[in-house]
Amino acid sequence: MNMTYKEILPGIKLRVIESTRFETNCISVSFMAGISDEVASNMTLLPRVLRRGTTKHPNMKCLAAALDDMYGTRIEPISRKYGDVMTSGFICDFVDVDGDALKNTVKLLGEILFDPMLCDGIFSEDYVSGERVNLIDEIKSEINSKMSYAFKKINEHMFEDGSFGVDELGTEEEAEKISAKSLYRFYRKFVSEAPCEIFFCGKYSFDEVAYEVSKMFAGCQRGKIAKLAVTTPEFARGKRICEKMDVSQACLVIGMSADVSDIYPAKLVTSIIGGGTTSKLFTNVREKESLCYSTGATFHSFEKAMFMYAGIDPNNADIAEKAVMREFENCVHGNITDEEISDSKKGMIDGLLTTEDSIFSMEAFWLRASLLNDERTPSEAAAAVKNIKREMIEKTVNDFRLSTVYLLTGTEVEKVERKLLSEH
Amino acid sequence: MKENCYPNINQKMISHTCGNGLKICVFPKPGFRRSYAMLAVNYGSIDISFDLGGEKYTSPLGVAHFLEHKVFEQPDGGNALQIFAKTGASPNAFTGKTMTAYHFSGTEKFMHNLEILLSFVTSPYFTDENVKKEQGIIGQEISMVNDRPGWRVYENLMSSLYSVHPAKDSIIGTVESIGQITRDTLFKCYNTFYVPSNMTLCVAGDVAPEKVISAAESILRRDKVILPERDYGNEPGAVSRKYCEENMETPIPVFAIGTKCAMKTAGEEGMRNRVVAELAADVLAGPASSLYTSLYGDGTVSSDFDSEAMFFPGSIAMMISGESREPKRVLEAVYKRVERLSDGVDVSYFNRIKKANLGMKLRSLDKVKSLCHEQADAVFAGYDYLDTMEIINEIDADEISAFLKKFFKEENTTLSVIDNKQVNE
Repeated sequence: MNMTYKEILPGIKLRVIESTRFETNCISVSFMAGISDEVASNMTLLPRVLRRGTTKHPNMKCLAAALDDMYGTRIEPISRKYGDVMTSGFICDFVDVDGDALKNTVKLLGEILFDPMLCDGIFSEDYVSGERVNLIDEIKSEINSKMSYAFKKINEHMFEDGSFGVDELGTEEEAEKISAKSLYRFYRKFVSEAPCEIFFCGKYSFDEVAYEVSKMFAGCQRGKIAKLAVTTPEFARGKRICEKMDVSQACLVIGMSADVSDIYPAKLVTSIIGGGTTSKLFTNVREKESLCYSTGATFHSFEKAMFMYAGIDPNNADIAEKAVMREFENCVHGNITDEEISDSKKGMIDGLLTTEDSIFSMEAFWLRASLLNDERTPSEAAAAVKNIKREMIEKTVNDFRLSTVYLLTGTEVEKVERKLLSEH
Repeated sequence: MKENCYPNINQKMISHTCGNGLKICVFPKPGFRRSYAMLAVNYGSIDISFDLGGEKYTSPLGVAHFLEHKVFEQPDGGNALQIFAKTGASPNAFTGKTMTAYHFSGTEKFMHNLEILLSFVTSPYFTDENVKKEQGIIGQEISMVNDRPGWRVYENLMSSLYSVHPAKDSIIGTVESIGQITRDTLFKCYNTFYVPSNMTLCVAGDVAPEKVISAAESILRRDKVILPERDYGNEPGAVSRKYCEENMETPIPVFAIGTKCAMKTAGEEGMRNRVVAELAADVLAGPASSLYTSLYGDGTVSSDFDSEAMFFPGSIAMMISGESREPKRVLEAVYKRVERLSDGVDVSYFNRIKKANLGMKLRSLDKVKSLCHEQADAVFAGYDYLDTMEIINEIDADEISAFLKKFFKEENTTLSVIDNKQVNE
């Protein structure tokens, strides 16, 4: 597997992993910008409006027919949030039955990106209003997945003064303000100035992909490329939030800041606490105490924040919170067995190495790597994890600080307002 | 050991049926770092009534899923999940209406992990105490899924669609039904269904097929157990309810339209019926269909719109689901579209759908988990998954027309809705 990563045009970097192992080929285009509520709503809405139609394929039916004719090639809008940066663009996957799939896919992608269906020189009002309604509905529907909603809310509360807490869909208020004219204005500036990462994995070489991608960008006027500001998040301290909803299972999320320079030791600590079936949360809080069905911990590299979570019986909220915090405190006090370290390392290493068995995992890995400015390959990252010593783990866990406790529950709020846990 | 090659597909399959009835299927994946194995049992939530010692036995709902949780438990108080962790492998399991499967993937010590998989699934350890503990954990899981509108709309759809067939019941059971499960219940069901003649082992990766076969033959019991008759009842043609609504806190109503038809789902004929049903679902309500593009275009549905075919012994169901403020309008649009398609499906449109379907199947070869899952499902229905790629080419537009005409009738169609009247009024 060969990887080449180069800037092919001003502000446009192309990463190509040439591999013949897969039937599927994948190409993604990600434009990037610093996030705010306004930017998030625009960046989420924009690719969805572009995907509605082009000059040549003016509606979804025409586009869908063209894609089906290319053996079901998919060109899907995608917006992702990484800390205070957001990306917006398309991810495509296709099989190459007739030998010209790259050319045809990039051509159609270029049409969608740079030759959208316009009415009187701006986006179609119908398309923008339809997608705006869908976006607002999607924001409203975030409560349908209770644990994801709990994560959205704790993010808002933990990073209340900064862009780190902005939801990737933005807000209903910001979405309401978007018109066909304002979105078109945003689009022109965005595709002209936003830095862009392009990823390809599949049967084509760097030169072949660079040729097609350069042709695609020929129709786009690139201006002065914007720089992404580097900021650090401000964490709330000692905050407790309890929200009531008609739910039969409560969702507890405990958020912590992690003052660390390398993400892998912090990820390893997170894995020891709640990374899998040998983690402290799974073996003790779920298996021994039967306090929950789902529990775990996750580390957000861009925010440098660790979250422990549990889906619990609302009547057990107190006990569950203490049980989750007890597992964290055990780590702080060095109560981590060699076996726990070894099992967590092996799980992480396995996860990193298998990244290379999936084109979509590689796409996500390398986009994150580009944004983190961390060019370690999955194998190199796995080697780094293998070399983490116990002392580093103990030092890292002591760099974690309690920020916010969030509880989504169905019981009376009064019953769950408890005294603040002592801040570590 | 047999090598199965397929025209125009860069994937072969090695298969072998052991003396005990276990079918082993290996998909070689040269160069892949990860290897994957799935031991699947032809036993799901619908298998609640069967012959046991000459008499009909009916278990409480949710036993298959309960067993899936308990099979991981070890006599020393440990859990098989932890044993896998020693090599960094990722184990998991799932229960469906027709299957329970245990699987793992990992980058090292594949044969060691395979032996763990084969051993723990065939060494049950159930005690009164650990059954009671699991009732608490599964009780939490039931609460969790019941808070999801997408789960509720599906559960309500199935119970409206079927009145006798156990496909109507929840996979996970209810708090009451799992409360009736005892150690004895688990052993009865386990001993009946967890036998090699009722299982398949599917593997994908850079592995030696002969070693996989040898491990399975040395670890699993050698005798071929005769399987009991299963009773799914006599399902009437009509649905039990044409409309079902439940109120939950959801901003946009969630809907599922379902239709069912008695049809073979096993053997050669069953394989063809399954492929026809999948294509018909795409023709009617896939991403390129007039139904979806027009409903999306006028804002009636969002991109969270899906159509799929589901297969049970003796019955095929089709489901169209999504979010809409006007679910009844969606149903009307479905009926109108079916009426048009019953008169004939445009051939060029159908050929594009076939190309897209084939493209999706080719892409599925890169996903080892779904490849093994599809093959396990196919083994239990008496065919091989990769054969479906050839069948696609044989099906014509008229067959789809006839299928849709037969399928979508008012008496065998139901609409399930999750709404929040307080929000939407």
